[in-house]
Amino acid sequence: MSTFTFQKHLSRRAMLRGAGITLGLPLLEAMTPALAAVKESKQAKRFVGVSMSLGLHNPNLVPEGAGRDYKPSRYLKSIQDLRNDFTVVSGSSHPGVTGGHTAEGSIYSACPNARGATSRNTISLDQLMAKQLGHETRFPSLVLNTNSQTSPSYTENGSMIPAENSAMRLFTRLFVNDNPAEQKRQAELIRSGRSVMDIVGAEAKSLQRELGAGDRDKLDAWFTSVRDLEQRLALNEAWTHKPKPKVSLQPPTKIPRDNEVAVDGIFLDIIHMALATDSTRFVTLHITGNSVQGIEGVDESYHSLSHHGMDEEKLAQLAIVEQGVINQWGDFLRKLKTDKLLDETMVLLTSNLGNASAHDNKNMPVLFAGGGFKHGQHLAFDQKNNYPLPNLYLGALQRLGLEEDKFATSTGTMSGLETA
Amino acid sequence: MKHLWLLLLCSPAAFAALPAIQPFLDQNCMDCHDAEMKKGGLDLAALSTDGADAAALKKWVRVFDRVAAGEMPPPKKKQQPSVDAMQDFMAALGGDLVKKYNAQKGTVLRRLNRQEYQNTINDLLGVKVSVIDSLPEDGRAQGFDNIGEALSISGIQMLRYMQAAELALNAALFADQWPEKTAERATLESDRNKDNIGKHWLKRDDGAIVVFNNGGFPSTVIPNLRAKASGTYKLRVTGYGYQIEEPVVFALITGSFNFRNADNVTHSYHELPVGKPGTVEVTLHLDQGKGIWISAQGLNGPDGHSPVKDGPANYPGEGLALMSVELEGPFITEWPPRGQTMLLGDARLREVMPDKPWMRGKYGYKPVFTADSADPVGDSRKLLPAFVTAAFRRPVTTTDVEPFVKLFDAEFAEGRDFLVAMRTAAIAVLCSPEFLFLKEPAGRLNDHQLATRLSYFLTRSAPDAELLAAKLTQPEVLRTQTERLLKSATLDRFVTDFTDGWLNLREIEFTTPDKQLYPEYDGLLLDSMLRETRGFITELFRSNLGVANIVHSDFAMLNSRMARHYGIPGISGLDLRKVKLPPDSHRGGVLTQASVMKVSANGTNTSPVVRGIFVMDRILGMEPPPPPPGVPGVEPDIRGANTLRELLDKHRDMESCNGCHRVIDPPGFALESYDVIGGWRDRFRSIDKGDQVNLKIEGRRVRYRLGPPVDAAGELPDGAKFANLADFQKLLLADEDRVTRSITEKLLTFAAGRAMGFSDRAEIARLVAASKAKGHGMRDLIHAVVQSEVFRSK
Repeated sequence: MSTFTFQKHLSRRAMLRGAGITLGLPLLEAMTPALAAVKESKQAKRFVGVSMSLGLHNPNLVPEGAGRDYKPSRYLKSIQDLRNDFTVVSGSSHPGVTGGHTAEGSIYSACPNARGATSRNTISLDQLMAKQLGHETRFPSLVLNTNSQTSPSYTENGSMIPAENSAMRLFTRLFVNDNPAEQKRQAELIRSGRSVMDIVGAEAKSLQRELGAGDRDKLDAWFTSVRDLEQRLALNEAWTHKPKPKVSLQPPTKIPRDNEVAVDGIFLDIIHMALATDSTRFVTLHITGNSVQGIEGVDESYHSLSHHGMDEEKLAQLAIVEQGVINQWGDFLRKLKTDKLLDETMVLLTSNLGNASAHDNKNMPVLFAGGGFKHGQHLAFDQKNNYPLPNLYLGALQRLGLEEDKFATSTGTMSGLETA
Repeated sequence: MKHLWLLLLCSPAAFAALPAIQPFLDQNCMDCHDAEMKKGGLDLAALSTDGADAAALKKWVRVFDRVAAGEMPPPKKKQQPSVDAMQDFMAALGGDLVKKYNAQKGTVLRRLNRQEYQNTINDLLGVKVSVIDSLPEDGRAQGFDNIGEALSISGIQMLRYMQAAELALNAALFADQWPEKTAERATLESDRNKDNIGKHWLKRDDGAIVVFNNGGFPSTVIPNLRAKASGTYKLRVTGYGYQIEEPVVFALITGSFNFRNADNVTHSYHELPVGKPGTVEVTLHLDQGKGIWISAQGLNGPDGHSPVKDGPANYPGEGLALMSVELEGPFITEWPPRGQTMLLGDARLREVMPDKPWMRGKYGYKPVFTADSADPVGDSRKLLPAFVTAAFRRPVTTTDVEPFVKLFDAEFAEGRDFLVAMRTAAIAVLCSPEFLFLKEPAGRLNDHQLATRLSYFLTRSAPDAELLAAKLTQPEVLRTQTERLLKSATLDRFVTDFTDGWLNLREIEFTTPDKQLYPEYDGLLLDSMLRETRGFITELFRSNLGVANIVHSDFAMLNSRMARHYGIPGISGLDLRKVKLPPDSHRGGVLTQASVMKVSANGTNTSPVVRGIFVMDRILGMEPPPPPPGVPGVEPDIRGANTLRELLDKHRDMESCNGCHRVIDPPGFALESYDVIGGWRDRFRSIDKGDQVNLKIEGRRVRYRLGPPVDAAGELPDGAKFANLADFQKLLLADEDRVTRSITEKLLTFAAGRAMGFSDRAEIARLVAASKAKGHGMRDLIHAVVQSEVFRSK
């Protein structure tokens, strides 16, 4: 492993400059020594996953040639200035994951599913990270969606975490201090919430005596949930009284509902600020909006375009939308790079669909940036016999200093992806 | 139960029946299904025999079924085992599977799903809050979202429950006096619209404002008309169709109509007559501050014209002439709301004046209340036990109530007033596992547990007082109460939630049909197709019509929009009605309904495989196995050269694919005659290739072309041939028991909140036989399900 290039404990001023923050702010947790017992060798400390519910058209994405000398594909031309900051992976997917759109739940959990069977999801990558390292920031993680409240982020009980889908509300939660009355209400809610949790935890204990063993799993999940919320409330209690960071970014006022790419950009701008102010370190953004008719040259809905059925006109319009998403992702990387955050932030762009038109979950699109890995390459795995993508996830966990040796169906860490 | 579980844990993970069936397997199966050959991905030597391995158990069931059906060993290629050997094998394997499934059957502790939660909390408190969207989406199994096993819980979910409970309680504690009923009348004329009139819109001598735009700009949200308080309102819209031949249709949309809240909801569609004014009256619930948007639909004008260009007076296009909109209400039948009385008893709410009294008049001001009680502690002892009883759906003990009383005391001791202390205690009650879960200990359910199960099955909410008092363990009483619930207005809830899961209707908006290929698709059609199917199923239950109607019926529930879509003449008006179908209509039965055809297609094309699976799984109750790993999907091509069927044929030529696809695909072939929005087709629509069509829809020439002809013929695995859907329906009806078995299984799954397993087969077979004796009536079937062993036991 190479030396640590970025100061672990940010100087306040450096951060203010980098993030474009206009006013001074009280000490943030990031500027005090980290609490977690994490190995010193860690290089990355953040993870951002951007996922597209409608896939990325593989012929436009996957470059010709493997390794460092790959020829940029149509979609990757616009982010060649970042060539050495990301890796493009082809021919990989989650083993045993099928089901077309329904595989969304497995994007970060890689949990194999069996159709028709009652299958329970397993913890998603971001939540596993947040569970172990998320306590240092105001928000252990952010689970976001450009449109709906569904998310690929799952708890260890296999519960989907509902996503924040309003950019305005997200901005407010991150950067706008509540008025004193609201602060009081929040504090009150937290206080009474903790008393409520005391009671409902005890209630379940008496229930346990009445119910059979078959119900034990459910009650266990109940206890975990109660404990989880208790901890969260306790942490929140401390945060309610601390002012939120002030940022120069203007709050979004109007969401361009007919332009999913622009909405994606608005969210990424806020995520950038959330990372820069160390409000959170683990973020997922799921892109699900269907309206793209506000984009020049596009007059059909996104979902309809994804079912292009090889029609040229549809493919042309789809390419406009998908290029837009890639460009937004590139812009986001550039901002992190300017702020010197990219080396310690892992940024993924992927989808559960490798071929949206055929609802195929193989050959998932994968762009992986930052985090101090040796990038600038095309890792070309077998399109027919896919390489397990969970290997990338395991590498990401280890990069954070977490001592995991397996994630979902991983068989090791991704071959060819090395740390810089 | 407990003992069985222990047994399972302690016993070695061996397949008990294995020694008995091993010779049979060796002789008849292992040639192809050993570690080396693994035909169809099945390696019997490696297949786990552990009863706790659900996936392996499922495969064994499939082994049983395929041998029982005579499909394995393959009759044409392999020597067949003797009848005796077969029977011994099935007795041994079947007996073992029953044992294994029995050990784990029983509804797993079931949480209220978010729909049930919302219904329950509203019914309990006498309010009408919408909390579904703030609760995490529920997990599903077997298509249903009320299956205990799949309903998980998390810390976030607990937090959301707390917030939802607070919201609902506040809605019950929102005002200290009966909200006054008012009647207000408004038109489109207002300051905001003064520039639109004369430019986009026409003001006529009779006072009507004619709008020519469908939704969009300029906004036709009715100015200065808002609900003063939450409650039920009567809305009367008066107007007429202008320069239009058919009655003019509008969508009634409610919402906050500001950019902060994207909370618009399309409530319903209506129409106004042509030429002379008519009035539409709608009863609806409105939350405080919500307004009304009358959004015209399907207005057209000739090319090259626009109201702005021509001037509204000279513009020749179609318009909606709006004369007035009246809003009367709120009609409140219960005051104070149930929840307020439950929480406060005789104590009354009293508004606390803000420090700055002028704030009260400001927009968005939220009043703060307190409640005065002469004896707060005494009141809490009276009120909390009753509240806990209502919330827990059973009589409660002092021990049950104690924690909440203690919480009240602690709050009160810390200086919170009576109202706040009671509310905190109530939030705790509503977050208790006794409220959020349906508590069902092992074995037969008692009266209260049955009341709860029955109520959530048929009303999707908590049992009412009559149900809770009934001796439901007595079959006759159970029957009477079931009959009562089937007659109540809440039947709609049951039909909606059941069909959402059974026919996947909840996903109907997942894809939007391609505008170029399906220009006739509109919001009214979507709304009408959902109402058609729900109305149809309701009619089957209400009139006790036979199960066969699901496959084919001689009637349909239609309004004018559906009738137009189906090409059935002579139906006007948007209300649904029972229509006798003409013989050549291509309609009748669930399979021909547009909603089902839409939900089993995507926005551009249909796949016989997807629809085949839909029919197999949802109508015939057979779950096709997933494709073996590594098989790519067939890439659809809508350019018009090949049909998907032709592309699939290549696939089907391969022996390994054909084994399943010859079973899965035929129902899908039969449905090829229905396009992605359920319209009838003789030829596929395409974008590039094919013949141009000389047809105008909504005033515009259609841009799609007509490609290859539809081939709806096929052959069932047993060799029976069909030429089209009508033939296929006849083949299905030859085995009515099979459809009944499937529907029974779906009803049981939804009713009991658990997946039916191998060991439930005997009980289901008994119900089907009983149903047959009674003529397979759908209402009778509900009774049979409720009286079944499955329903009456955990």
